[in-house]
Amino acid sequence: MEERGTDMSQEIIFEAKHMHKAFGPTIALKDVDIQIKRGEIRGLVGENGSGKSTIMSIAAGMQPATSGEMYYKGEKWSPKNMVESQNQGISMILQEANTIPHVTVAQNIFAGQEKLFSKAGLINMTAMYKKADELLQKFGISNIKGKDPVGRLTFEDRKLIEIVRCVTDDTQILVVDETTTALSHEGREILYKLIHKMTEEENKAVVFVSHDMDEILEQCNVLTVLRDGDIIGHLTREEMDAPDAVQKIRLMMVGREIGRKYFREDFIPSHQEEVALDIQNISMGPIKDFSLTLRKGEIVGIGGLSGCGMHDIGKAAYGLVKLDKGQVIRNGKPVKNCLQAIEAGIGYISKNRDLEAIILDAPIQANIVLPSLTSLTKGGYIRPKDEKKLSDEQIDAFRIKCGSGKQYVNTLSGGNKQKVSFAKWTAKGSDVIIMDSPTRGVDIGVKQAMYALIEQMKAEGKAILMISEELSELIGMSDRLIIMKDFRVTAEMERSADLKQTDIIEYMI
Amino acid sequence: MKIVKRIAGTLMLPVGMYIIMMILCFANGKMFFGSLAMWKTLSVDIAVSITCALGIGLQFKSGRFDFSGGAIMLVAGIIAGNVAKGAGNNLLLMVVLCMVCCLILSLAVALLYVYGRLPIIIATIGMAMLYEAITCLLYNGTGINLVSNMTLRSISTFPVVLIPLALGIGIYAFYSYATTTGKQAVLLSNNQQSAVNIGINENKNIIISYIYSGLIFGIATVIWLPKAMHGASFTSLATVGELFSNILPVFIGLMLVNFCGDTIGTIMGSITLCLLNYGLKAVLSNETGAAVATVVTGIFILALNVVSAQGMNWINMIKQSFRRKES
Amino acid sequence: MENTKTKIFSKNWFKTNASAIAGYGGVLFCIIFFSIATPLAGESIWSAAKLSTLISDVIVLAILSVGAVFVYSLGSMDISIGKQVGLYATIMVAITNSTGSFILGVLISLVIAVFIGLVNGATGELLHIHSVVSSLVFMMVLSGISTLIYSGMGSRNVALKNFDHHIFKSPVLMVIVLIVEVIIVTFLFNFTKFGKNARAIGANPVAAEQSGINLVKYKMIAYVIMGVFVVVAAIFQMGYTGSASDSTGTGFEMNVMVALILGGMPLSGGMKSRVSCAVLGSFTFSLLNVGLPIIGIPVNTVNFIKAIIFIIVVLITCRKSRGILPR
Repeated sequence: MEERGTDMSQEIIFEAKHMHKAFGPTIALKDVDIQIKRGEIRGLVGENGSGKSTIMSIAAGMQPATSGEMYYKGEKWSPKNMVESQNQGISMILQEANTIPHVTVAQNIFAGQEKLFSKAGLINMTAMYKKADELLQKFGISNIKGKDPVGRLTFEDRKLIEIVRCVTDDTQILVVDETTTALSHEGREILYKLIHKMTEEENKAVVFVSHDMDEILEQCNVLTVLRDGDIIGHLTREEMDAPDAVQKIRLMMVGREIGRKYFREDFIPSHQEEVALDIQNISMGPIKDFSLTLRKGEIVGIGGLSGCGMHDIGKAAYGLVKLDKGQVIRNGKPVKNCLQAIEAGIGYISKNRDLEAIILDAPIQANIVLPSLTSLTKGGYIRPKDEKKLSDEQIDAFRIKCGSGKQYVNTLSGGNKQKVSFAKWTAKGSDVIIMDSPTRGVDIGVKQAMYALIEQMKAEGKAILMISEELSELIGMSDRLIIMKDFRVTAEMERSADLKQTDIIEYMI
Repeated sequence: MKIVKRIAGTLMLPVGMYIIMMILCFANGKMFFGSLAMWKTLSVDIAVSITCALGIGLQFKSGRFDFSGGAIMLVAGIIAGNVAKGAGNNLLLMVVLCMVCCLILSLAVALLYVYGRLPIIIATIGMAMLYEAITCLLYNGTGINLVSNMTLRSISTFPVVLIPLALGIGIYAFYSYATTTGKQAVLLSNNQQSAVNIGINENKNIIISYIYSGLIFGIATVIWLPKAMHGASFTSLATVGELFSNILPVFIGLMLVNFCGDTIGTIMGSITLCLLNYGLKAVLSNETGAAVATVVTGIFILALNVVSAQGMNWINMIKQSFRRKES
Repeated sequence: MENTKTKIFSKNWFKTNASAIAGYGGVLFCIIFFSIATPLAGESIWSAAKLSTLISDVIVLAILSVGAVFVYSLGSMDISIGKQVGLYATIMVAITNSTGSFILGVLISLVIAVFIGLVNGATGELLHIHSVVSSLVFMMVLSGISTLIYSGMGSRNVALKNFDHHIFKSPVLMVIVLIVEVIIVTFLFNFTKFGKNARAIGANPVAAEQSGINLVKYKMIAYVIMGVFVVVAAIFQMGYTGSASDSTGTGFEMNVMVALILGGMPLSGGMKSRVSCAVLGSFTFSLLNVGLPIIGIPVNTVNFIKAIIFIIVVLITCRKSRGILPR
C-alpha cells in the first residue's frame, strides 16, 4: 500500500521493498514495502510479533534482512552494523536499557567510536569528555557532565544519554523504539522537542514505534499499522483525529472484532466488608508514612510516573523489602518476608516479568507449582501426578496455548507468559494478589482476556492491588484509584463514569 | 579523592603486612627480615607473583575465569627450557620461545572460546586439560629442571629480573589505559549486549586481549621457569591450583581500583602476599610456614570479598546509628 | 506462538536434548567401543578382574559427582571437595588408630562436613559474595590444616592399623552403596522440594525468591546433602588403600567437574540438571581411564585422549549458536 505524496519537501528519504525476515521457522516480516518521507513523524503500531520493531532494526543496521532491498537517500542501503548506520544518518534508540554501567557518560556516548579520539591505538580521554559536555549542552541537558559515572544517573537520565549517543548532526532518520516508557516526564519533553525540531525545522524524519496509543496519536503526523509481519494500512492526520480512530486502529492491529467489552462495564465502586490487607504507616527510604486498607473483592489501583514509588509499595506489601517503620498486616499478623506473605495467601507478580515473576528456563508446570510445593508435599514427598493435576487445571482455566505442561516458558508468547505468572497464584489459592504492570507488553486480545479474568477474581472475593503506568487501565478497572507523586500520595479517587485521564494527570506530574 | 587518602589506601596492605611480619620475625629471632638480602631473594618471587596475577587479572576483570594460564606456562616452559638447554644454554632463545609459545597457546584458547562459542570456564578447562596432557607427552614426561643451570637461571635473579618485570607491568598498563581494545573490553564486560548492539566487535576484542595476556604469561614463564623443578602434570588440572595461589593479588588489585588503579593495586597485592609467605616460612619451617600462609591467604580472600561486597552497607549502618543517636 | 510437539530425531529434538544425548551417547559409545576393542588387545574390560578395577576406579568419583549434582544445580560449584576428602580420610584413619572406633571418625567427619556445607551455602547469600569464593577459601584453609596435621604427626601419610578394611575393597559393596546413593539423591532431587527448589534457584534466583523460596535455607541444604556424600566417598577412598596422605583428594573437584560436564550437566544449573549426568559422566571418565590402557595406549597419552574427547563433547553440547558470546 502506498501513500500519496504531495509536497515537494516530502521527498522520500527511505524506502524498503519486499522486505522479508525469518528467524528459522518464524517469519517476522512477510513482504513489506514502506516509504518514509522527510518531515514525517511516522508512527508504527502493532501487536507483539507484528514486525514493527523488526523492520526498523533492519533499517538501522542491527540485523540483516533475509531478503529484500532498501534505499536510503536514493541509493542502495545495506548497513553492516549500528555504528555504520548511525554514521550514515539512520539512528535507533532501543527499548532495552542500552547504557553501559560502571563507566562514564562520555564513554557511553562515544562507545564504539573511540577511534575519533585515538591515534595509533592510544586514547585521549580529555578530548572525549570535552566533546561530551558540548553535546549535552546542545541537547539542553544541563545536569549531566561527560565525566559523570553513569551509575550515578537515574534510569530516565540514562535513556537520555542513549539519545545523545544516537542523534548527531548527520542524523537524517531517528527511530524511537518503545523508548518513552523508560523516560521521565522531563525526558519525554526533551524527546518530543527534539523530534519536532528535527522534522519541522531540519526537514528530517522520525519513526516512532510504540504501544502507547495516546502518545502516538498525539505526536505523530502519519500512522502505519502492522500485523503478523504485514502492513495493514496507513492513517493520515485527519483520520487519526477522527473520533473512532482508536477503535479502527485496534481493529487493524488485532484483525478481528474484539468486541466492545474491554475494561469493566460497571462504574460503581464495590467491595466486601472484610479487610484483606492492611498497610499501616509504612516508611522505607524516601517513602514516608504510607497507609492503605485493601478489602476483599476490591480492586485498588495505584498510578503515577515510573519513579513515584508505587512499585516499591508493591514490593513492601509483599514483604520483599525491609520496612523502616510501620507494618503490613494480613489476618491480624504482620508480614515480614515473602515466605510469610505467601503462606498468608498473598501473591505478587513483578513488573519485570521475564526476570522476576517467572523462570524462563523452566517448564510451565514447574513455574505454576513452585509456590505450592510445601502444600503438595504429602508424607515427605511430592507425587508427580499431583503436580501435573494442579498445573493442568491452571493451563485449562487460563487457556494457555502450549503443547503440554512440560514445555519451557521461554517458548511462549508474552501473553501466555503473563498467564503463567497469574496461574502461579491461582494454583496456590492466594486471596490477595499484588500485580505490577500486569498487561505490559501484552497484545490487545490477551489484555481483554486478562481484564475479564481480573474482574472474575474480584467477583470471587479476592483482593487486588493493581500498580500500573497505564492510566486507561487503572481508570477502567479500579474501584479506588490512588495517585502517587514523588513518593507521596497526591490523590485518591473512587470509581466513576466521569473519571477522565486529564483529571488525574495533574496529580501525577 | 584526596591524594593523601589515595596513598594511604594503596600502601595500607603491603606496609601493614610488612610490619606484622617484621614483629613476628624479630620476636622469633629472625633478624634478617627487612634486610637488603631479603628483598633480593623476594624480588624474584614478587616478580613471578605480579606477572601471573596480571596475566590472570587481564581476563578476570573482563569477567572471564581463565583456568588455562598455569597449563600454558608449563607447556611453554618445558619446550623453551629443553630447547634452550639443548642449544647450548641460549638464554635469548629461552626468552623468545617462552613468549612465542605462551602467545600461541593463549591464542588457541581464545579461538576455541570465540569460534567454539563455549562458556569460558568450560573452554579454558578443556584447554588446560589438553595442555597438561601435552606436558606428559613432551620429552617423555620428564618436565624441566633448570635450577642448576647458571646461565639460564640468571634471568631469575636480582637485579636482572627487574627487566622482564617492568616489561610485564608495562604491557598490562598499556593495554588497560592506552589501547582502544582495553577500553572497549571494559564496555563489553559491563553490558555485553549493549556493547555488541552498538557495534563493538566482540571476537576481535577478545582475541586481541588474549594476545596481551599471552605475552604477559610469557614473561611470567621466563622468570618462573628457572626457579624450581617443574614436572609434567599427570594429575588432572593440577596447574589450576598452583595458578590460583596468585589470585589474591588480583582481588586486591580490583579492590584498590579507586585508590591507585588495578595495575598498582595488583603489585601491592603481590608484595603483600610474598611478604606473608616469606615471613611465615622464615619463622616456622618451610613446609609449615607455607601451610599457614595458605590458610591465612584463604581467610584474607574471604575478608576482602566480604568487605568489598558489604563495606558500603556497614559504613551506611554505622552512619545511621550515629544519626539515631543524635536525633 | 504455539508449539507443536517436537518430533523425535528431528533437528529440533537434537538441539533441545543435546546434553542428554551427549551424556548417554558418551557412555554408550565407550561401552560398545571397549567391549569390542579390549578383548582384541588382550583382556576384555568386562572380565572379573578388570570390572573390579573399573568399579574401584569409578566409585569415589561417582559418589562425589552424584552428591555434587545438588550443588551444581544451584549454578555453583564447590572446589573444596578434594581437600575435604583428604581431610576426612586422614581423620578417619587417625581416629580409628588412636581410639579403635571407626564410627567415631566417621561421625567427626560428618560434623565437619555439615559445618562446611552450612557455611558454603549461607555465605554466598548473606554476605553477597560469589559462592565459589567461600569454597575456594575452604580449599586453602583445609589444605593448610592438612599439611600442619601431617607435619605435626611427622610423616607423609598414615595407615590403618588393627582395622580390617577388607570390606571396603569389595566391588559388590561399592555397587550397592552407589545404587543406594543414586536412589536417595534421585528421590530428594526429583520428588521433594529440596531438589525442585535447588533447580529453581539455579535457573533464576530472583524469581525463586519471589515465589517464596528461602535462598539461604535451600542452598545450605544442598551443600549439606553433598557434604554427607563427600564423607561417604572419603570412607571408600581411605578404605581401598587403607591409608591417607597429605595429597589425598587433590584435584578431585576438577574430576567431578569434568565428569559432570561429560555427562551433560549444565554448569549454570537450573532445570536441566539431572542425577543421571553424574552417573553417566563418571562412568565415561572411568571407562576411558581403565579401557584405554588395556588397548595399549601408553599412560602418558591417556590424558591427552581424555582432553580431546572432553573438548569434542562440549563442542557438541555447550555450543551457543546465536547471539553474544556466553559467559
